Amino acid sequence: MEMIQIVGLGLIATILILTIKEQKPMFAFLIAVATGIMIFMYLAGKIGGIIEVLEQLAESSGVQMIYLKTILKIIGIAYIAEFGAQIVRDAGQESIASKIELAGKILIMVLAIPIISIIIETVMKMLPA
Amino acid sequence: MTWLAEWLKEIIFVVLLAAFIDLLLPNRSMERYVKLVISLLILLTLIAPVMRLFAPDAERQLEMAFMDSADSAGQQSAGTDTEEILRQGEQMRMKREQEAIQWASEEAAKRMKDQIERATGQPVDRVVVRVDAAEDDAEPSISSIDVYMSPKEREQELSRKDDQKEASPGTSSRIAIAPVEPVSIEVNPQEREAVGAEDTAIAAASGESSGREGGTAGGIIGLAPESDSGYGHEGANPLSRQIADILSRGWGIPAEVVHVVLQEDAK
Repeated sequence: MEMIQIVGLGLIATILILTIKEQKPMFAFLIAVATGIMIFMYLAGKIGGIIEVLEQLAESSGVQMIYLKTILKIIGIAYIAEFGAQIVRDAGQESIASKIELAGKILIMVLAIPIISIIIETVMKMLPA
Repeated sequence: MTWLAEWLKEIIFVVLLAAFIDLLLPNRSMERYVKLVISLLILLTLIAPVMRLFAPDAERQLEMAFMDSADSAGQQSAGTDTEEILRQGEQMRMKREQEAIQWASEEAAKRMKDQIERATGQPVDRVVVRVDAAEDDAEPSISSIDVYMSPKEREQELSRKDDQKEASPGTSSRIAIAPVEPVSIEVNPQEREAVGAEDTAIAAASGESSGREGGTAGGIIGLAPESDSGYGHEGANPLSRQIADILSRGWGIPAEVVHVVLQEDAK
């Protein structure tokens, strides 16, 4: 049922946008943004469920929560950057969209820095001085 | 063998998670970056036992680093900041209250000392007032008062009473206490107070004659059986009762919380 709702919402928004685009391109863009946010919010609850299950699994298997947190952060950054970039791209600003994606990539890389530094430190300690 | 199981569990979990994330990723443009981070995490898990050997605090370091990066992003830290500030405020309030209570008790002790000296004419060494901060914002109340009388003239009395006691043994209670004698004098105030309070309660409950009561009270308070016998006869009890009376009338506190300690100098 949920899938049908989402598809219905998307279809209605598409038809509205197609009809309005000739007269008011601005409103067409706003409708697109609003629809995107709605679907995103709708999915946020589902994603919350998934994350809860993952956290429970991590807790029961005794894995350090920090791994899970890092991975979840990565997913979050990826999704939000993607969402923003697509909206901007829809509005025709390709260059800004690519900048948003760049920011997402860099933030993901920042998450990797502590891991890299720890691994390198360990390797340096293992090697005889 | 448990560490092996733990390790394997961790590896399996992280690899599964990585596959899951791969599916969840929105588009291909982020893929390479995400894959790098995830493979680093898997590597970290794989070398965890070695790391524990060579860098035992690596995990903590990692956690700190992540915390730092989260703070520098600085969005969700606002809530914790507020909590921190509130907690500090609470601490400062408690400290201020405690200072106020301490000041009040010192002041009250000074006044009481003057009052007792004026009323009884006996020199008072010092007065210790304990004020309890009540919970749930009620008024703080005086929980106990220890009056330490100066040792001066007591000494001669003491020796005199010693002789007296040698000559004529006192009541059975005194004899029972006698063996404890060497303990005396250097006992810390808490103990003394506790014993004193107990004694007062017992005495009040049994409603003994004033002389006997004085004997016990004096004995426990002074913590030396000789002095106890002495004051019992001479009536240190009236003095302590008088002091308790003065304080309870003047300050509106129950007489039970007043403990009078008759000090002797170390011989």
